[in-house]
Amino acid sequence: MATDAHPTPETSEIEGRIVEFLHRELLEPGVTIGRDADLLSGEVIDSIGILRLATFVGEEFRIVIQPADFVVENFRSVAVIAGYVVRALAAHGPGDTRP
Amino acid sequence: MEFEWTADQLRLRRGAVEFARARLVEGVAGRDREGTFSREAWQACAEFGLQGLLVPAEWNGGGQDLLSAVAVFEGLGYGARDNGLVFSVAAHAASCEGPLCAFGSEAQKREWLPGLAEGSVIGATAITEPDSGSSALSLATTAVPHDDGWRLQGSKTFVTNGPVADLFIIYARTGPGVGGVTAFLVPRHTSGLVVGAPIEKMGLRTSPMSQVFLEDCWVPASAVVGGVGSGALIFSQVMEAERLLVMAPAIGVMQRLLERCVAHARQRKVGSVPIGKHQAIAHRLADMDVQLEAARLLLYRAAWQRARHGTATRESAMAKLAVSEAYVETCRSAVQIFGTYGYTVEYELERELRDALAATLYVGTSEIQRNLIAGLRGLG
Ligand SMILES: Cc1cc2nc3c(=O)[nH]c(=O)nc-3n(C[C@H](O)[C@H](O)[C@H](O)COP(=O)(O)OP(=O)(O)OC[C@H]3O[C@@H](n4cnc5c(N)ncnc54)[C@H](O)[C@@H]3O)c2cc1C
Repeated sequence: MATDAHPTPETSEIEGRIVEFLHRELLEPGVTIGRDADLLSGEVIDSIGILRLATFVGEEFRIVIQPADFVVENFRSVAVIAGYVVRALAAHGPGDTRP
Repeated sequence: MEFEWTADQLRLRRGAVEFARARLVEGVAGRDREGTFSREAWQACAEFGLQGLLVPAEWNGGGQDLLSAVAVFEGLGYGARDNGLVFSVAAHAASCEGPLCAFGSEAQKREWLPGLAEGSVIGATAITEPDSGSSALSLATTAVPHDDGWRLQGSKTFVTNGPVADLFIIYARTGPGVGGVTAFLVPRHTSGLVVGAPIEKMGLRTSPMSQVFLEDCWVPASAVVGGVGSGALIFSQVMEAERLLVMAPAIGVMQRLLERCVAHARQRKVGSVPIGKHQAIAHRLADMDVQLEAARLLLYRAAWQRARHGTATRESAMAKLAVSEAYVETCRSAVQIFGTYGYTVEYELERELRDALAATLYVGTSEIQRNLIAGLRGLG
């Protein structure tokens, strides 16, 4: 249920915005990341990095990330996160996540 | 913007104050001296509904949200004197029941939540290791696949409730990186799980603590909580809630000490002048008042965010930092305002100070909260 003010973005656009955030904020210069690359299994992002990424995803796509959703099945890769965002938007629509 | 508790939350808070005054005051000085945990007081808390407060009703819990639980635990801090026992209950609820409620399988919930909610099962969580400490996820305890399950190997320390716990949530490394940590549910009598001798502490002496050793400790695949590799993410969520729940009693304690200090400053005359007439004392009390309100608002705001809007990483770190620092400062001021009376065991302020000092250490030290707050801004 998307509102006119906040149309639901396409999956490819969601992935693009996440990749842009990763490159701008979390990845070492020169490191590139594919949509299916495992973000969590190596040195790609650290424990604060994953919290920053989750905060970004919540605010950027206006979804409420429930604590129980914060598992590797939803955050393992760019494509997986985008899928989670699409499901969250389909279930609840975009909302105000922060006052 | 609303700054009011609901009638239900006020009723819960008032009930907690009355319960704590009736059941969590007597005998604390002796238990603190001996370093003993009161099973009787624990059970009284369970009968009052504290251990089950956040557990859904279908598992025999009270089904409250975090904001209402903060109201109740603040009430406990105000009414009780046994800070250690209240800490043990909060740790049980936030760090053992919390991950089970949010991430546990139906079978895990069915097996463990009713007992945890009723207090017949005591929960503990073990992440800290001798060589990891503040860098909690640099853990060396490993879990290796073995015979349709996992074999755990390593040692944990500073485990609250360890000496009396029936159920441990143990974090172990199952691979590299943030996605290489897994949470396991391990009952006390599992072969290979060894609970060390109680660790004596400066404060919170009625809350038992120990090391836990994992010596080729095999657990079935069904012991994994929330999926293999989700441990670090689960831990971050557990910490968010725990920072708020364990700090809520501190707001109640600060309120109680402020009221006690104001009364003392107005009544205690040195020569013929009440000490509260001295600006040095009056200003110290004014500062205590401001620190309490600022800490209180950050805590309520973070709990509200989490209850209504999901995760609250930044808010909970800020609340933890502000409440714990204000708590220590308030207890120090209380001792100062009472002079040497405040230094005596009889006045029970030295115990408050000893109990408070742990608050800037547990659930992430003040330095680690600052690292997190700055890190979320892309600093450090
Ligand atoms: C009352 C109490 C109950 C506890 N209960 C539990 C429990 O139930 N389960 C559990 O697993 N653990 C528990 N702990 C352990 C607690 O979480 C750790 O003690 C805490 O994380 C700090 O680790 P450490 O003691 O090894 O200190 P260290 O990590 O050795 O730190 C020492 C000092 O260095 C600072 N420091 C370290 N790293 C950094 C950094 N990167 N930047 C800036 N400063 C830094 C710290 O802030 C601290 O001041 C408990 C602790 C207490 C006090």
